[in-house]
Amino acid sequence: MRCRQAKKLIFDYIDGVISESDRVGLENHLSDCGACEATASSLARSLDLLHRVPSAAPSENFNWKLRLRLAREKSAWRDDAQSIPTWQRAWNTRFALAALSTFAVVLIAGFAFLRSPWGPGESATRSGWQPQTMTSGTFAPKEEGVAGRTAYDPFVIRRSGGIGAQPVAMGALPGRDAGVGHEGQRGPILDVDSLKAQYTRSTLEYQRIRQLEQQIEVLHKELEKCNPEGQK
Amino acid sequence: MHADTLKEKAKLSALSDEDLVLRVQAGENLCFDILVDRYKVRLYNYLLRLLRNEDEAEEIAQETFVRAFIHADKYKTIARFSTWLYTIATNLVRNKLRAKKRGPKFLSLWNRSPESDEDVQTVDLIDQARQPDVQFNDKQLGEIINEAISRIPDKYRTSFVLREINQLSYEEIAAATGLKLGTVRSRINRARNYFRRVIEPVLDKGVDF
Repeated sequence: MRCRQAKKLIFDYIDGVISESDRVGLENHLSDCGACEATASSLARSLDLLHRVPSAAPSENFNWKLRLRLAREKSAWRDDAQSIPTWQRAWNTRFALAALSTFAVVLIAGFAFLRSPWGPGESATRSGWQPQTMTSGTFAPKEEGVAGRTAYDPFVIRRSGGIGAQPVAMGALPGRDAGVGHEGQRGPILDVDSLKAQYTRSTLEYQRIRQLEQQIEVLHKELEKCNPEGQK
Repeated sequence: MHADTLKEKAKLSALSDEDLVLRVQAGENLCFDILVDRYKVRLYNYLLRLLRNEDEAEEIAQETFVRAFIHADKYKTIARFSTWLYTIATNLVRNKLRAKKRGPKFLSLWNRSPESDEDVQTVDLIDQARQPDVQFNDKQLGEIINEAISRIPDKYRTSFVLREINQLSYEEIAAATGLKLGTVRSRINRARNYFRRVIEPVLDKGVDF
């Protein structure tokens, strides 16, 4: 057995929790190693001395003082407990602080969201989108899509020329008068892609859309002739 | 005290700590008196070894009993009453020592604090023991032991005193201090080594106690 192991086992030996094999090993080691034997002996003697120390006694009037204090504290505690309702006691300072800080975080997060690009107020203002233009089954096109649109896109026409007659063309579509009343707005009114998706089931209506697209294209070319700088 | 009360008290004394607390919870205040009588000396000695001040030890002992009485309804029989009581006392001592450390510090030219240089204090102890033909009485022996205990670092001292003075089991100490069992063992063993090293010079002199 090494000295390091022996020094650990000395404590188990003192506590009386050492196994029989460890005890024999430790005793053999202590008989051979003077340093470990001295440590074990010193430890045993010092603890023995500690256990021989007589216990001190509290003052003679300990119980009397305690009774007085108990009577005082108990009544104070009881008065305190009875005077304050349970819900109010639960609402202690820590709880109030925690609730307050949570409320502040939610408030700040909400405000930040409203001010962010993803917030409803900001995006509506930026894209010119109005809730009235949204109908069931359709969605308002995003601004990012504008740049990639083809020349016959009604959105592009509207932006380029601000054509007041465009709603008339759109109004010719059966049941598609959503664009009416949005003259002069910078935002999109109808999305050809969404219209296509909606009317592909009906060949007749699809053909009509194609005709309209051709008309739009013609109008667009005419517009370019009249106002070559009108794209801006 | 009234004869009937004494008779009643003698009868109740046969009950276990846990049964007595349950009766305290039911409003039998006499049972709490018995618990105080059972634990006041043990608790006071524990606190005295940690605080090294009789007034403070008594003050904290009283505070411990007051809290135990007021919050008796919170006691659950899953833990021993003694463990619960030592837990309250240990927390109060911890707060007290923390407040002391935070408080203003004064330097004394005559009395060095226990946290000051250890070597110097060891010399003090040796000097006490070096006096020829000295036979220590109980009080002097107690002072030397208390001095040696006070030199054990705070974090090891609590577990050490609970084990060596109050004879609590390792499990009870773990419950009272909120430490893991392995940590308790290690702290007690470290404290034993500290204590041995401090008290060794006294033992080496072979002073007859």
